[in-house]
Amino acid sequence: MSRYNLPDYYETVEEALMEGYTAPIVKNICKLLTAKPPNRKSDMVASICNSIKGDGLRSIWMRMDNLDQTAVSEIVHSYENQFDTSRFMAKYGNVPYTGSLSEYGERKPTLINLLIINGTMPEDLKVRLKDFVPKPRSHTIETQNDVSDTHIQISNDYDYKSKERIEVVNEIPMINMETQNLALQDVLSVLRIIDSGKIGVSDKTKKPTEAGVQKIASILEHGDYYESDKNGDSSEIGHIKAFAWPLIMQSAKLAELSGSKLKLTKQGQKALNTPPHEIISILWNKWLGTTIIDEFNRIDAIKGQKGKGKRGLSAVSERRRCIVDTLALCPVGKWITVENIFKSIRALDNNFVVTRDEWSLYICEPRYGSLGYDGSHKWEILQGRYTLAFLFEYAATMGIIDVAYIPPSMARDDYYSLWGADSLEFLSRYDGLQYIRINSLGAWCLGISESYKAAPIEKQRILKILPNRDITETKTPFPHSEAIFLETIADKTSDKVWKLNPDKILIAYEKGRSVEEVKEFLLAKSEHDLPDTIVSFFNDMIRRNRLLSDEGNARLIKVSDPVVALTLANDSRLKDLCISAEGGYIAVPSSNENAFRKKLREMGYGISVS
Amino acid sequence: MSYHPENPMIVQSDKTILLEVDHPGYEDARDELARFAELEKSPEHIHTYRITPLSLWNAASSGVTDDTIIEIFNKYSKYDVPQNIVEDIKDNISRYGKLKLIKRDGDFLITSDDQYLITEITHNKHVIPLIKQQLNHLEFTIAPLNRGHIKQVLIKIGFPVEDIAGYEDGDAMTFSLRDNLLSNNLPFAMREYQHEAIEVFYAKGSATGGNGVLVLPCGAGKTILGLAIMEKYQYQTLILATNITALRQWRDEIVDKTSLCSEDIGEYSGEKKEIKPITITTYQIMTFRKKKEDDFLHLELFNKQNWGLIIYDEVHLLPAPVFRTTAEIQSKRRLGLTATLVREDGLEDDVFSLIGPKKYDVPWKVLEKQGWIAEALCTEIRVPLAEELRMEYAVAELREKFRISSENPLKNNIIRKLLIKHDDDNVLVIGQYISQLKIISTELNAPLITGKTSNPEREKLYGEFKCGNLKILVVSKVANFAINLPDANVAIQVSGTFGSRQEEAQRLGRILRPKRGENRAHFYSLITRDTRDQDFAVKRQLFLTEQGYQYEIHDYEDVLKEKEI
Repeated sequence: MSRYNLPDYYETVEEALMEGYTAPIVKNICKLLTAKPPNRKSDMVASICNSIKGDGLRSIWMRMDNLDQTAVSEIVHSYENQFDTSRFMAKYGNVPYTGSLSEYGERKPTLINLLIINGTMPEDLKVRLKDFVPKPRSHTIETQNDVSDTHIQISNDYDYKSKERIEVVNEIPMINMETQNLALQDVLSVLRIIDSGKIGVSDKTKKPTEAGVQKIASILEHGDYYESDKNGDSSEIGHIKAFAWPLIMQSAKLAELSGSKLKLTKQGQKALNTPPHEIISILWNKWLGTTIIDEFNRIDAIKGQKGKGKRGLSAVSERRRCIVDTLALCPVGKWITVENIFKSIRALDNNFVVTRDEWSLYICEPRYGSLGYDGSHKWEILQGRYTLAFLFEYAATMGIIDVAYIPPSMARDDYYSLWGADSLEFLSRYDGLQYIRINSLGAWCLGISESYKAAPIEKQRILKILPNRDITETKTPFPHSEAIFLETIADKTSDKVWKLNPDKILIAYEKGRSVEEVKEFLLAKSEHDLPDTIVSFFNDMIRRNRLLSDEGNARLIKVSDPVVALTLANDSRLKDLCISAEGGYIAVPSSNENAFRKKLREMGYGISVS
Repeated sequence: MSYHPENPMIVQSDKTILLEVDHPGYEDARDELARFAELEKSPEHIHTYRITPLSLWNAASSGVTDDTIIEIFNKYSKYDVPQNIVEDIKDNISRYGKLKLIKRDGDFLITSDDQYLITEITHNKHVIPLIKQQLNHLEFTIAPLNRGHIKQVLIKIGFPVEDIAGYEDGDAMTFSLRDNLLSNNLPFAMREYQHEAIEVFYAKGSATGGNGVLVLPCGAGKTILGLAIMEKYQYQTLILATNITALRQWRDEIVDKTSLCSEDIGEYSGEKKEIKPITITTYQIMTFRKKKEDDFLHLELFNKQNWGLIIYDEVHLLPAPVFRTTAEIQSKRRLGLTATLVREDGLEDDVFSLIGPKKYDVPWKVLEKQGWIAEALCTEIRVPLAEELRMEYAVAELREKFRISSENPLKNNIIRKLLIKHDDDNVLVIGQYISQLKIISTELNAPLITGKTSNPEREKLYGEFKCGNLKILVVSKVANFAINLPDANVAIQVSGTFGSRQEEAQRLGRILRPKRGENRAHFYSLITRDTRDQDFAVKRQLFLTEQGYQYEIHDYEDVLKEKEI
């Protein structure tokens, strides 16, 4: 931060009055305390200091109105000496003026300008005030038990017949989504679809390809937040959850790029057998520190986030911490409007900045549309949109918060006045988010509750396994995660029937999945015990698989004389380094190759290059 | 999509229907389905039916409408019926009966109300040679000899013909069914399902009856159906059986259950060429010729007598030359008998057009529940390959590998163990390789029947087995078909013909006839573990499980340790 931006600090009120105000302002303050102020500035300051000696300070505080007293109490009982107007405004909805004063301005000083000088309270005053100024009330986050089924949206229109402006009221259905169970299912579905090697991501940005996003959207329980409709608004909205999942998986190192597709890492494979809520907890904690993406990048309409603009952006982990600290103070199971979340982030002293260089960010055009202009970079535009993106795309996707939302188009009007925003249907795809609610999974991940009691897993007996290796789906809708898993071990032979495919199971085995796992999966999902033929099918496979193991690469050496081959392979110096093979061949494991060659040379043999 | 989890059926867009067996509504749904769909697989828990043009035409021929089928689907289905299925049903059902084959003034006519359809088929290159004369835009005549051929051609282009041209009466032959069996004087009566099948086929003697196929599981009394239908019509009858053993069993059954005596029955086989009012022959002799380019001389048997009824036993094995001849004798009444309409050669539609539509089918499980056929328990026992054969097996060619693994001598230990377990039972040991069977026969001191065993010797051994003097019989593949050994209740298969599904089913069929006492049959298949033997066994196993047989798999070591199997 530039030294010019360092906040003022005054040790004493005398110092503050002398340095912070000009003589005319000091005179106006002095007039508030005495009818006849002296003429010289130093005398005026001495007179003021005299007035606030002893009980004078208390009587001055008593003369202040409620708002001013609250402002004073906020500073007195904070660690800082500066008055945080943004926070105060968020908490109380109004704010006294404590900024700089000018002798030419119309604004006359009031008593608060004596205690808070240019936004700062002198240290000596703060110490004395602490003796009698009561603590301010703590911030209460407003909540509600339910959310309405609809959202009333009011817009203005022009009636060409009456030639008058009219108000148009639209009732928009509100989508109320309890995300916890969805996320617990989605997390497994996504892991499995990644395991199937069908999700492409960019090797530079790690972001999923359009095809990958579509694939993920197709397997999510209840799909993405907005249905993809190429002819409607939602194609502009794009995918949210489906975009987020591959990044979330990569950030926790459960998946990584292999060629152009994602594949599960060892941790990812392990996660397949981990209770889903534990996977979510890992993903959430990893996400808070990830740099794989700055969620603010997803506010497509705000340009200038690359190059110079990128350098001005603040650290994402700090932004996330501020939001998460606020969430951790939210009541569990209660709906909270996003406006209240915005207010609470500031009121709870968790405010953050998105950029230190608003001038680099812009809408539409860098000069006219720059967000550096006064009023352009207000909280809702930068911090607000970042918060929405984080909450909607990541927190809700991971099932930490439930959400109630409407389509983003015209959902917020806070950006209408920005230059270049006229043609935008919405400033961000997350503008439709209206309410959030911390659910029990969220409470556990946020540390509000110590434990998470996963809902008793109703054993989903959704398959009938038949002795002829047919697998029939018996419930609808058939969970996507199960369908993805079945795809890796069976062929779909008709709408509801699969057939176990030994080849696919062996391919999965060679990729690291155990046959026991497949068997356990079927057992867990089957409405009956596994038929004898199926048990044998798996047991045979398990037994056969144990017969072979990959021992790594080896170099094959042909010895033209079979007797020499046998002699070398059994020589005491070589026999531990190589394996005798049929037909005059010697196989040398790669790890032994150098030692083998050395010993061979010592014995007087060299290997020709073929 | 609407969802009715309380229903037992899932109709899929690939024209298969899944039916939950454990569902309370299973039986009602099954009875409805059987009217218009073929049972394709019947493993535990879920049975798969398929609707095909043939199954729909079969249904249409018995008066089932498209609305009825769709109503049944809507009533029993968990999910909405896929639209393509609805359209398919409507289309296929509407095709049946559009073309009729009638007889007018001695001429055979193909007729329809749809002139465009007649126009379309009269321009078909396969139909043109069969047209004798086009009378108008709604009908044309055909030669009497082409009655079968025209039906064959038209079904192949998707238009089944309703043949109501009637039949020629054959020469009469009067006889009756006995009230008591000749052999043991026990009372003889038809079972209810046999009555139903007979009535459906006979159709009160009308032209809508008199041809078609009756499908019953092995051991459910197909021969008796044949006798009862012969008795209904009282015509001289030609019976085609699969082989000489089956031929003689037919002869014995006729003598045992009807008022006919052996003098009334002719045997037309390699050994004898008798033609009598009731003549029984074999597919083998019908298709016999000295050289490939020669004619099938014995096919003339169809025309040597004025038969009123021709019975095709095991119609799924009917050879192509017999089909061709059958096409020319469509004025005769024809009865097909089989346990399965599935033909490995895919000629099901020829059976439909030349023998007739399926007239009656009853799931074997129903008969098993009613006690008419034995409950079958299939057990596969995995035997390790004998140590001394491992290296020989490892370096052998594929075909030889199968033989080595099939002839694994360790299987003999299991046979002995099983014989101890089943010491009171009548056991058939069935195998593919004669050398292996010879060793087993010697070890067990049990007689062996192979293709080389003379017919009198076979008859004698079968007779001894039937009357209980022989408890163990070692047989080669000659025993696959139509040996009626009612009391055999244990079959031990030591080797099989690669993956032949039909063979496995036929071998199992040998022991399905109802048993006294617990009415349960055991089928053991001995397999050499991790060899070609096991690879092929898997294919046979899958087929049997699809047919709904319970299947257990045990290990050699467990069996030797006398673990309960």
